[in-house]
Amino acid sequence: MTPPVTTDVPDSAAEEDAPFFPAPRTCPFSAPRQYTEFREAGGLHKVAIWDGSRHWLATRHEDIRAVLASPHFSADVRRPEFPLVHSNQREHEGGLFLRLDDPEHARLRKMLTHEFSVRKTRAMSDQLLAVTDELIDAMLAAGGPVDFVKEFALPLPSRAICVILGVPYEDHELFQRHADAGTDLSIPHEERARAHAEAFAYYSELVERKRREPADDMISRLIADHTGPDGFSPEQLPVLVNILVGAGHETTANMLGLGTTALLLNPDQRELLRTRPELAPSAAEEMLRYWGIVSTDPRRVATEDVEIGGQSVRKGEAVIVSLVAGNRDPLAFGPDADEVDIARNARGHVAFGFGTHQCLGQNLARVEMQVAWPRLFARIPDLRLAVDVDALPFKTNSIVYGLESLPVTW
Amino acid sequence: MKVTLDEEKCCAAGQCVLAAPDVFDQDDDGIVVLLDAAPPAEQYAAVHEAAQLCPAAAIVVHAQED
Ligand code: HEM
Ligand code: SF4
Repeated sequence: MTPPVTTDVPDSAAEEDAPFFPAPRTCPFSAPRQYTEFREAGGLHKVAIWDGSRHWLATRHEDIRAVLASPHFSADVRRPEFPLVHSNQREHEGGLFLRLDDPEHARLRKMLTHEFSVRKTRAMSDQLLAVTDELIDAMLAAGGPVDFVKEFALPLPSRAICVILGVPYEDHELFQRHADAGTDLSIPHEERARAHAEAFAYYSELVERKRREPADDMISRLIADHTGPDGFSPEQLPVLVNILVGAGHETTANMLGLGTTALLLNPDQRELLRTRPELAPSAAEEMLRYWGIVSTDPRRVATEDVEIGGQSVRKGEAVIVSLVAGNRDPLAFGPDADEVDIARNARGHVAFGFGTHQCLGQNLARVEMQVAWPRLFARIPDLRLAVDVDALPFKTNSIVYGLESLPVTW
Repeated sequence: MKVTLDEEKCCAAGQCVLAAPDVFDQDDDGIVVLLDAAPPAEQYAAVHEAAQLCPAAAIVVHAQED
């Protein structure tokens, strides 16, 4: 039997009382309408996922924070009740630090935080600015229209994470393909398994090479300091590096594409950023909030009976959260939560999740956006879309929301 | 105002450093460091924001009579 494609809406799974999750974003610039309605109604709501199982969905900002900060929820995908995002998840991610619970998760996470502190990532600004300039030079030399995703949004974070980890950037087509297979929900089980096996082979070889020839990079430091019984096992290191490369470039690439689109479509906001580049940090937070790109996660299983948003959740039941719904919650961000306002204080967004699993790479992602946007609009002030908004190819069926391509010109 | 930390809980997200850089820093491993345990009044709002944003509830703000 062929395992199901995880996103085909199975006839049996979704019913009136438990609609299929994830619902598409009704308009490319909003949260799914259904989740906005759930949020307005308050409380948790039942949804059905690809394998027919039913789970709670949290949509209010407050409820999302409560779930993710609670010690009574588990992120362990090996639990039989865990609502898997696709049919390969348990096999590919089971036992990885990010799918473990504290204290084990915290212990392993602390072996990685060193590389991603505010200071460490800010220290990369100059290097990131140099890459930004190089990419803009190349776009200007080629002449418009160009695909902004391919020429800018993907290479900037890919090059940054390659430098940190010590992965050769020349191999970017390979690792971008692996990352796509990990997040695209419309590909079949076997194809995702094949991509995962290919990535494992690639990173195993890379780790071996670093073992023989250590360099000044994160993979070499992990091998030296954090492998063995108390750290990452030799079989886990390649999987970990794969996750860091994937999470490290794909998410930020999608944010750079979507955020640029939002700025192009809101000329007053783009003008504000151009004239007041010191708003870059605030603009980055607002874009993270507005887009809430992680569409299918986080997910947790209750390890005790708990109450969330007035709903009792029994031990063994799972809660999925809709980060984009939480980021558009008027109770948290005011009545204009659906508008782009780069001057607002958006820092309370949940785009990076909340609780002890909150994004490890968040400060790297921030610096990348903070460096990229002011420079881009300073150097190409008349940047504009080269196609109609309606023709923009949004990813409709992915763990991470984004654009397949973004044709721009000037 | 008096600020205390539970470093054990800190998951090194750095939200506190972004919200109140005069009061919080991160050590080499990204773990929170308190720069000012009794910050002046002009820092109160930033410190409250940091405590609210901290994903790990590692920052505790105590009201204190002046
Ligand atoms: C704009 C860009 C990004 C967004 C929106 C984002 C979003 C998220 C979210 C929502 C989570 C929480 C998952 C959960 O609780 O289950 C997370 C965790 C994580 N992110 Fe990011 N991320 C971004 C960039 C990055 C970067 C640049 C890295 C680079 C290393 C990264 C690495 C990770 C890792 C390793 C975790 C797991 C942390 C843990 O479980 O302790 N992310 N991210
Ligand atoms: S915000 Fe909280 S978890 Fe993050 S570094 Fe500060 S104290 Fe630690």
